[in-house]
This record gives sequence, structure tokens and C-alpha cells, in this order.
Amino acid sequence: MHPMKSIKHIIVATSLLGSIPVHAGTETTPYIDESSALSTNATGLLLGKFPGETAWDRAWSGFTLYKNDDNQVLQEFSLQGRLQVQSIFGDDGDTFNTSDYKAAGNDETVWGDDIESRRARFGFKSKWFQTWKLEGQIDVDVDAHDSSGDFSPYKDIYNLYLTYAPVDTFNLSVGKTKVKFSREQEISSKEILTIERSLISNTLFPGELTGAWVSGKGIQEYWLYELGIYGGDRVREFSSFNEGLVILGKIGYDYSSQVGLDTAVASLHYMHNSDPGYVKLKDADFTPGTSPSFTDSIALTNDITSGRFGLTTELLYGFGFDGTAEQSGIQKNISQSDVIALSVIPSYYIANGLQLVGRLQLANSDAGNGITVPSRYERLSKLPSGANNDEKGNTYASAYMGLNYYIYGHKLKLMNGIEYSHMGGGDYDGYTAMTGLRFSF
Amino acid sequence: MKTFITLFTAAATLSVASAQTLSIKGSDTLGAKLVPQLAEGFKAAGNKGVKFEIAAEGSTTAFPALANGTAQIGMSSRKVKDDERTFCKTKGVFIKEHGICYDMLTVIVNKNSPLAKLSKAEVAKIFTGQIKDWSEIGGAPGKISVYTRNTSSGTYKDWQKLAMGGRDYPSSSLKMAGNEQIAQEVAKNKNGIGYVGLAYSKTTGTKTLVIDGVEPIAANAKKYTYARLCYLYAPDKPSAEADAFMKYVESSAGQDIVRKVGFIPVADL
Repeated sequence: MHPMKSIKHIIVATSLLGSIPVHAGTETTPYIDESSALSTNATGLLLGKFPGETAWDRAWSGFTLYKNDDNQVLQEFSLQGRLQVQSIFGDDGDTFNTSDYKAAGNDETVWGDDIESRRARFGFKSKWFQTWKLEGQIDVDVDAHDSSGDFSPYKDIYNLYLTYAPVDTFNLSVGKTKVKFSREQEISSKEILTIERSLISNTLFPGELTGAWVSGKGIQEYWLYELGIYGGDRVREFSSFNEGLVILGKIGYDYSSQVGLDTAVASLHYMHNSDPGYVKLKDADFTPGTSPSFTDSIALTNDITSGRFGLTTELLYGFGFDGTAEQSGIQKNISQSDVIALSVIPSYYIANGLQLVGRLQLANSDAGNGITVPSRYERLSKLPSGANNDEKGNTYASAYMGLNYYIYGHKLKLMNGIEYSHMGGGDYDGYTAMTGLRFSF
Repeated sequence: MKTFITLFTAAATLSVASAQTLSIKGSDTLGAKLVPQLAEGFKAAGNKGVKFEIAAEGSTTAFPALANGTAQIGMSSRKVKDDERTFCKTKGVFIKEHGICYDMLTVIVNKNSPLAKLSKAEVAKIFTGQIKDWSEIGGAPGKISVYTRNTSSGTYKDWQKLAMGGRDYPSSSLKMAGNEQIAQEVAKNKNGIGYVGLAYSKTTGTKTLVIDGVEPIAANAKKYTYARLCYLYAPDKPSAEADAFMKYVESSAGQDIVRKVGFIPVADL
């Protein structure tokens, strides 16, 4: 709507006895076009129409190229993406920082010595024929060069999938997607409250896989579900479907209205992995991820928010695997014991836009060396000397305290956190401090 | 002269202080009739100094306005979505939900239509485009014109959920800005059908249909299939004016106005 028209429509009541005039967008005029009762609200960058209350809203609306619910073919085409940068410092008796991370073979993602490009993605999302959605993103190579030195910002396909969504209770999707086992993995990195997810959630995470899945919510008002089957290989583009299967099933219940909370969802996740530990051959431009070394995994989750307070609680169990797995073309023995973990993430808004976040993790494995310290930063503690650190153990405990500052909701925010971790039966005992800026659209 | 300036300044300050403005934004269903009349009642109840700014452009507009502080109260004919509430929180606004009344969504056709009743299944088929001609359900031949609310409306989504099994509207549906536009267009179009809140069901030139044998009148609210709760949202620490207005809305005097305008007080169900 034109701003002047909006102002014109807001009429102030001034008299006790007189009626209260109202801009209803309705009583005498339609929403957009006063010459017609029909409401049309096409917006987007291509039309030069940027809806929103504030300059921030209008700026972000520019990522919507076209939006028009009245168009019979295309209802929306928007750009989507994220850039998340961060810097770390750790100490477990031996200090480590982002430059050590760079030196450990990550020079392509570290700008200078201190700023890591944690995630850089770019893509689109679109809605067609009212019930079809197509969206996808690539991981962007921030170095912008491939292994041969040629210019190439493309790193890999993060996701690309087609969804048929005739009703809320039934959506069918095919393509490549992040397989969201556990509550922490369900929450996008755009919206997670801690800078990094918890150890066991990452350990059980199967990656971005190709497959088909159905999901729905609002079944008998409160129930939700998801069931998916995927090729087990974590590859640059799409699965060959020759390397095992991952099956994920979820059932959840939204009990917010029964208890009077803002949100309250409890859910049970189950995942089966037919080829634990599998890793595809590495190529010059892409290092494939490893399939989790667990045959089956279970997550029992509870997520509630009320006013300033939030609490995510998760109990995870992974059934270990003893056997051989193909890793980069070689058969290797794997001995992974069962693990159990509890993760509790409370949060509280302490001031306008300022949120305090905590996290407690406790994990235990059946046998020694069943748990490995987080691979991203804590394992750097043995660098550069490579001394005598033992990165594996049988118990793990960590406590995280963070402060998030929201500049424009989750779309632009600063995140800071410090985490103390102790590996029982191993050598790691130290802390990691992290700071980051997250931008998304 | 000095005394005059002092008195003038004091008078101006007092007049500004005594004219507090209460900005309310959101749902057309609530904002076109009900909330303005509640505002009148509130002022008549001894709150003459409060000025109201009421902008009713759809439930979707309520939450950005609350988040940005351009509204002190949001009107919504649907529950707030998780992402809307989260955005408010990140801006330091912790909204509280107040269910203030029930609304019955009535199905209206042109007064000259021979139809008097429909089943819930027939309503779903008409509004999803599966039934395209009145002759398919025993009416006079004629292509059905489906009138709906626009996508910023909470009623648009509620109707999908209540009457259409969550399915989408046909691309041929005509999206209107408010209840009154739907009623006016149906009154002009002998092949028209639409849905409006109970408060708008008496528009000249239209008639309401009995659904699954239940007439859409307030007395039947419990058994009528298309009834929904409507809400006001206010920050957990509202301004004094907003707090007083919310209390008035929920008082017996406020709920009497709810009933008079054609909505159903919460306590009645």
C-alpha cells in the first residue's frame, strides 16, 4: 500500500459522542485499488514494491523478487541465503584460535587469520500453482576458486527439493535436504541460540542427503509427523542410491494450548542407518562427510517457550556399530559403542533484543573412547605441537553461556558464547570462547 | 507576559497529557466494527482523554506493528504464528494473548439464489474449486463466483482450516479486502458465494446458508461448524491506556458490546 494512502486511512477518533472512524481497508475502500473491490497485493523487487513497517522490513523485502497470490502460475519467487562469520579462542592448557583452525587445512574459509566464514549459502525459494514449492541453496565457496585455480563460487548443493503441499497435514517432498534428526538439527542455523550445536547432536547427524519424505502438522489439531527415506551417501550433489539408506521417522505433539505456554512441542525421533561409517571417495573440490557410526538413533525432545523464557531439552541415544565400513574406497574396522546424552538449553531475554542462553550437556558411552571431542575447534588443542592429547573418552560434560543481541530479529544478530568442556577418560579439559555475526534472508 | 507564557505552556502540557493515543492495528474482522464500538464504550465509561487510532488491514499486520511499537494492541482473528511471536520477542515485545470473543463464519449467497442450505462437504468442494457450477448441486446453471478474503487476513487462513481441510483456494477465487466487500459483491452477483463474520451476515441483498442443518445464529454457536476464537494481543507490560482498555473489553460492559455487534462473548460458550 502506498504510504500516503495508509496515512490517509488512519483516522483518529476525537469525539466521545461521534463514531470512531476507522481505516478498515474495508468499510469504504478496498486494500489497494480504490476503483475496485478486488484486493491485489503483488509486491517484490521486480515490481518495485517493498512492503513493511520499517526501513529494515522494506530492505529485507527486497529479497522477495516477486510475490502475488493472485497469479495462477507463480505466487512467489524469493532469494534466500545466509552469511555467518565467527572467531574463536580456546584454552585447555594449550591455547588455540581461528588462525589454528585456518592452519589445520581450512585456509579457504578463513578471511585473514581471525574471521571464519562458518556458513555461506545462496539460493532461492518459490511457490507455483498454489500447492507446489521448489527451493534450493548452494554452499558458497568463499574463496571463489576451485582446485584448479579457476573462478568458482560453487562449493556444493546444500539442498534442492520439490514439495507438493496440498494441505498442512500432508506435504510430500523429493530432492536433497538436511536430514533433521534431533531438535537442535531441526532448528536452522539461522535461528539456533548457541553458536555451535551440541556434541552428540552433531555426532548423530547424518548430513544433507537425497531422498523423499512426507510431513504434516495439525493432525487432529495437535499432532505432527515426518517420515523420510534417503540415500546414505553424503555427496556434493545427489545420491547414487548405492550406498545404503537412512530412514527417519518422527511423531510430535503440540500441547501449548493445554498448558497455556507460547509454544510447547514434545517429539520422538527415530533414525535407522544401514551403512554406518560410510564415506565416499574424496575429489579435488569436495570432501564428503562421514555417515554416523550408529545403526539406530533415538531422540526424545521437549521444546517450550513462554514470554522471555525458553527451554529445549533433549535426550539422545545412539546404538553403536562394530564392523567394517567403506571409507574413501578402503574397508576399515569401526568399533563404536552406544552413547547416551542429555542436552538442556535454557534461554531468557534480559533486555530489549538481548538474550541470555545456557546449555548443559552430559554424555556417556558404554565403552572407553566412545565419545570424541567436538571436531571443529576443540580438537585444535593438540595443534600445532600435536602433543599428547587424547581426543576420545567415555564421558563428556560441558556448560555453555552465551549472549545474543538481535539487531533485526534472527535475520541480523550478534552471538557470543563461552563453553567449558571436560572429557572423562580422555585428556580434553578446557574452554572455547566464540563470537559471531549472522545475517540471513 | 512571563506569567502568560508559563500558563500557556502548562495548559498545553496538560492538554497533551490528557489526550493519550491508543493505537490498535490488525484484523479487519475485529477492527471494522467491534473494536471501534468497544472504543466508544470505553470512552463513554469515563476515559474521555484517550484517542484511538484503529487500522484494520488484516491480522498479519498486527504483529509487526506490535514488534515495532507502532501499535499498543494487535487485533487478530487467528492465533499468532511462532515466527511472528519470536520476532516480537527479539524486539523486546512479549505479547500476551486475550481471547475476547467467538466469531461464526457464515456462508452467504445472493438473496435470489434458490439455495438455502449446504453440507460441509459441499462447502469444501465449492471453495476449493471442485464444484464449479451451481447446477452440480441442484441450483440453476451458472458458474460459481467464489469470494474470499485476501492473504493478509487471518480469516483467509482460518477458513482454509475450518472449511477446506487446509487445501488451497482455486486460482479463480476473487480476493477481497474485507467482510463488507465480500457481502457487497455477493449482493451484486447472483452466482456469488462468500464467507463473512456473523456481524456482517445481514447485509442487504445476501442471505446466509444453513450448514449441515445448523443455522448460523449466535444461539447455535456451540454446534455450528465454522466458529472460531478471536484475539487481542498486547505487550506483557502494556501502557496504562492499553491495560485499561483490555480490562474494559473483558469486563461485562465490554462483552455486552461484543454481543450487540454480532460476536459471541467468550463466557457464552
